[in-house]
Amino acid sequence: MNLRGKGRLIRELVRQKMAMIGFFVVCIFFLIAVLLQSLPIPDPFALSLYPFHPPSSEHFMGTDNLGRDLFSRVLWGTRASLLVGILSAGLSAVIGIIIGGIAGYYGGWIDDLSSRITDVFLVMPIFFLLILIVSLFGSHIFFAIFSIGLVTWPRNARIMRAQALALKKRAYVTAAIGSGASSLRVLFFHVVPNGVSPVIAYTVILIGQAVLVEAGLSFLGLGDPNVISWGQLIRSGQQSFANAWWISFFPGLMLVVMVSAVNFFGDGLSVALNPRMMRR
Amino acid sequence: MERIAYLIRRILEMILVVLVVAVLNFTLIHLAPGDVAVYMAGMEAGPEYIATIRHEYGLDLPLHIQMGRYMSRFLHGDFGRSFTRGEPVVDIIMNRMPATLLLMGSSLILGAVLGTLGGALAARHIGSKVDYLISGLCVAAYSTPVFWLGLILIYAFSVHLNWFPSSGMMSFLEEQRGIVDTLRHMALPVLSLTVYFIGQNIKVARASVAEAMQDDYITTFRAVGFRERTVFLNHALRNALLPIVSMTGLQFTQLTAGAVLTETVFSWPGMGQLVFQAVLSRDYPLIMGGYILMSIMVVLFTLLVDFIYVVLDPRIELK
Repeated sequence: MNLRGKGRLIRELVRQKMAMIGFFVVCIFFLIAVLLQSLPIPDPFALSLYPFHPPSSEHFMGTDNLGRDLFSRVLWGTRASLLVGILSAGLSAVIGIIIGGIAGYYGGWIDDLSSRITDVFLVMPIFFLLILIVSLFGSHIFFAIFSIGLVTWPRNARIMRAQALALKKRAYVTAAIGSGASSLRVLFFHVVPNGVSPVIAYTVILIGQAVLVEAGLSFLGLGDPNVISWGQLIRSGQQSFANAWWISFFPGLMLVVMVSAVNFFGDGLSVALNPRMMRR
Repeated sequence: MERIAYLIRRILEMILVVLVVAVLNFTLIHLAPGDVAVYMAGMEAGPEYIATIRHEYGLDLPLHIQMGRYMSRFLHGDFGRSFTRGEPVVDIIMNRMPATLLLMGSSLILGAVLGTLGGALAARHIGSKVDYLISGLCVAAYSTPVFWLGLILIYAFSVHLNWFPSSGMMSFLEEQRGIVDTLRHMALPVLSLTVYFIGQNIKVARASVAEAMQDDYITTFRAVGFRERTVFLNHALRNALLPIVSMTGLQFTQLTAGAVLTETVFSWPGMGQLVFQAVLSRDYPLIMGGYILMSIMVVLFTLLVDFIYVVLDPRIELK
């Protein structure tokens, strides 16, 4: 993308208020996740003598069944959610770009095979597949990241394939081939960089979906037991919801805020990256 | 002719999906750490008994022969018996399927209808406060975890207001049961699923109606002097229907996620909860059978949507 394109993209994003707000909210979550250890919050694992304490000036979000400070635990949950969201969506994008790029650029049997795989994945009930993988193979957080990336790449591949198909006949691609560049070089240095923007926009949306999927798995009890995550916090408050609503309420609220922010930003990004849609 | 060829191609594709699901299931379960025979025999079983089980179920055979046997049984519609319940897998699942279909069907339909109306309303006042409000709420709606919303609804409408029951599909007492009773039990789970679907549908409907409103033929209708209302209701809104149909088809593939999570929160006696329990207790025949039958259901619904699409839209691209 050239400089003028970048300037236009940023101008277009700034014009969309919700996308900018979404972006800032995601940045705040990101800062929280990175700076957790140096934030002035209580130890999320420290037990106290006040279990089921409702929200107060001392405990913003109350305490849980073991008297642990919920505000601190909720902030710690940010890390797991962002980690799963960003890494699994990133993995999905990388696999999708490689397979979709190759399929669209070279065509032939590779294209046929990857298109069939894509079709299968688009219809297959994916969440249940994830439940199966995580419960059979183990619930380590990197395993969850890996499996979410592995079941979501086909849609990215489909987007990248369409882009590669459209771009491979452009003049600059022909020029690159004419000047003797190898076909892989043409694909990954000329076709992919110029066609990757819709994949990026979809990947941002995918971050939000991955966060929700991870929360769902953790809520079912399939989360990594060594990591504090919002889904697990909601699960831990489910039994006592009628008497101590705050234990499940605040982690869920954070999920809504984070995923909405990601979605607003992703929507804004896809509008800004697609000039044809701008007028609407 | 072209249409029929297209549908046949889609049917073949869908058969492929089911076969892939079956193979994937088999592979996953046999790659998983832990010995299937030990799970089947129970943790206290002695080594001889485990060996007997292993032999009896052919677990001592090479993997490709096991897969061949499994696939051939599957093609004959035989999914075996559940380890934990002892009944044939097909019977158990068919028993639970209506509850899931009732829950998902009502939510999908409600979501499609309300989503179309909401999206059309936003598109009609595009750029106004109404539009911003609806579009903002719609993003929040599909960003909300369905299980969390379920807990909140239970807290508000069941625990506090006591308007609706919080779990199950019908009352415990025989004389309280009936259509009204089941509808009351459906209210909260359907609402929490519908919120999610409405969000997605509003987005789709808003975009397609807004696009149609800018089309030349709509401008022509206006120029000729049709009333704005007529143009909107009879022409622009019609454009929103096809994308909503295909969106509903896609949403049906999210059935397992919705079913497992919602049914768990509301103790709804459906397939999602059943198969999830099977995963927890490592009831392999029930897991495999359940997943394959769910996939078949999704595939049939996708085909139905394809069929509706071909009938509704004369311009459909038959690639």
